[in-house]
Amino acid sequence: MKNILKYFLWLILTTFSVALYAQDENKTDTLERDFEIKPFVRLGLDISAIGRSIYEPEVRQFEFSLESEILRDWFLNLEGGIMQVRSEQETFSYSSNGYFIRTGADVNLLGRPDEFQNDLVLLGLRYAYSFLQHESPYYFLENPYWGEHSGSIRQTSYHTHWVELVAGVRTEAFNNLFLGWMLRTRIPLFRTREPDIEPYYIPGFGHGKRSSPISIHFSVYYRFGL
Amino acid sequence: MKRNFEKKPISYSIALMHKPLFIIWFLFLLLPSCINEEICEDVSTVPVRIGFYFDDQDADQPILLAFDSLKVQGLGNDSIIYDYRYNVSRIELPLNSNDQSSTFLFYYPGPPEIAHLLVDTVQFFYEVNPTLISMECGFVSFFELIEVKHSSFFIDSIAIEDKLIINNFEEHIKIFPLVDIDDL
Repeated sequence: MKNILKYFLWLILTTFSVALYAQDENKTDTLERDFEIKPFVRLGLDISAIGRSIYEPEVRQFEFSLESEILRDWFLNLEGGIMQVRSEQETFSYSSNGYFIRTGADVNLLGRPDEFQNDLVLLGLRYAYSFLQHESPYYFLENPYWGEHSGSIRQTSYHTHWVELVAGVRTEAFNNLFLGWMLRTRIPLFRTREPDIEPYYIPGFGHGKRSSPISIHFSVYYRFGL
Repeated sequence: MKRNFEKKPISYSIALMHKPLFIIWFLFLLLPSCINEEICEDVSTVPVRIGFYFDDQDADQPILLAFDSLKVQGLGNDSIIYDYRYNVSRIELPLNSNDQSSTFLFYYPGPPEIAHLLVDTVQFFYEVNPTLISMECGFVSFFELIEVKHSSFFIDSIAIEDKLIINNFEEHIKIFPLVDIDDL
């Protein structure tokens, strides 16, 4: 775990040191920055879910994003997705369905000296909301001293609100096609109090009880001109 | 329109220079997301963790005590959890997931003919919170302590330090036995 954290720290530092260095250079840049922002929408698809589904096939999540440059180097974001968890085993059964939405803005630290510069180093903020319904029709618990315990949990709803600090990069691999990753750290705000059961996976947030402080998401984007 | 690289500022050159690096990062970083670090502990019921202390008014923290010998048994259960174990400072007791309370008998050492009289009763009241830990481990019983009642043969008081009994190694309960300070 420490190695992973070191790895992320190195990644963040190198990424943003490049960005900040680039910003310093912009100060002595004599190029005119009078190009117009051509309106566009960039549609993104989170492909991290493909990797996650390999080792955790019970959890399926589809996530998309839409963004547009509202001011130079400022991007308005709308993200959303759906999630489904299904698991039937000898000792328990659990199912969950839900969705989430996130909205916020990113600032491009790399700057855009001209209209052809499309690579981005982003820092942003999101407000997020998630809803799910889940149930456990049966579960068994081993207790060597008192004996086995079995039970069921009826279908209940669960709401979560949180804010996210995001940082990442996007690069134009081909014309209008972008690859990128984002680091996300989440701060919970409100959630359903005293639920019958804590959700196993919160859409858009992660594992309910053991969510990592930082998660990484990889996405593919396509830019549509308007 | 052709890109005019010569007129680009250094920031753009840096971005271009790092583009292959970004793509490599992108592919390289996909790897950690595929690593499953799940470790399934062999426990489906988390025990309540108890320590025995003496509350010294002159000390900042209560002093950990050690019983010479202690036997602990659940009420209504023939199995003995601790059978006059020597030098006991901390114990772990399994709560009953099938009920909202569990009672334990604490036997202290003494002559065999009166050993059954040297006993305290400790009763835990709680809510059972079944929690799905992971698909590999399944459900685990967590608990939220509401109240702890006790008899006072050798127990002076009990303090709930952490009412949430989840899968960590925190101490949940402090028991303060009746102690003659001259014996310490």
